[in-house]
Amino acid sequence: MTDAELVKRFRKGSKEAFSELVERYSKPLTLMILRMVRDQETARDISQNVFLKAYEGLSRFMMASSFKTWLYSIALNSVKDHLRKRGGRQVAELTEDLPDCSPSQAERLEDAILRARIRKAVEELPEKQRLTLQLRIYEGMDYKEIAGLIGGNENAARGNFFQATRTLKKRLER
Amino acid sequence: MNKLDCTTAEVWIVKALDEGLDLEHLVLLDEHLAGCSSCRRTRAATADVLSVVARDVPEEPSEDFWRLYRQSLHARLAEKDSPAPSWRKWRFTAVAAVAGIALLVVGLWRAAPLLDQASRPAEISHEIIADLEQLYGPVQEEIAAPALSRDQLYALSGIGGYGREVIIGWFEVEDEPDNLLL
Repeated sequence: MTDAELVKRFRKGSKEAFSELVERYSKPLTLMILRMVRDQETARDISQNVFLKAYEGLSRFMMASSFKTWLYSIALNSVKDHLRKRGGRQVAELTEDLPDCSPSQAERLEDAILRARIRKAVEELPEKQRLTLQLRIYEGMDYKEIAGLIGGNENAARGNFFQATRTLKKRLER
Repeated sequence: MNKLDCTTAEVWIVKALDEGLDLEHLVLLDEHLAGCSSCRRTRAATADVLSVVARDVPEEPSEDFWRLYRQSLHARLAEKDSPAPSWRKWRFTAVAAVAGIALLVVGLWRAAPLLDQASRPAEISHEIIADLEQLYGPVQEEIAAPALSRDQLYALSGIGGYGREVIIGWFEVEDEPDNLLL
């Protein structure tokens, strides 16, 4: 059954239809949120609130976009609100254990440092560039989907991705 | 002859690593890269950045996380469906209560002509708004009380509910209590 059919069934009173939508999207949506907020509890709260908002708002959903786009745009707005409230606090951390002197562990440390630098640089990107980069790399969305979620058109989304990549590259070269 | 400039090459490098380039553009880019060490470094650095970003993902949650997630989400959804207390019921109760207060205000005003008629109803309007804030949360700017002065008098003209919004209407009265309408 398609999402649109499930939405119609839910509007006619079928709670099972909504449960099916939850089953379909809860995991990918929560993982997307987790990749952006980097905290499991926060990701769980945001994700559940998104489904509660969807549950309340689905009867007013005009079907101008797909259910997935609608749901993900609620999630992205919630993530943006959360990150704005969190302010400029950085979450870039080294989570790996510090190595002793073996080459493989030294490489791990180097890689961890590199990832921490990149993560910090990603967090400091302008919002649209950051979201475009994350949706493209982590979610594998095409530029049309990304534009549908964060606004603008496909070429603007490509431009955001290019600028994000360029900025990160420059930050790593320092 | 190198047909591409380095600025265009940089755009193509990102596109090649991201979406891929068609054969024609790829050949042109390769030709450029073969003769441009700066763009070769750019390609290597860009590939590194994309690879590091792609690898920097948080650990996937455990099965327990998903089990608890489903349990608590279903509980929260069930809470939304529970019949009592009904928001709708409370909304109408609240509107009725506020309308009652408004009637009382007008009754008091008519019965006590010695009251300071320039400020009393307006003060009570504030009380009503405070009550509404308790019931509905902070009011929108649009329903905040109008500016007050000792020479102006405001009377409540109506209270209505629409969805989660409460609409309060008022009008200015110029020393004519008989004109009051509710």
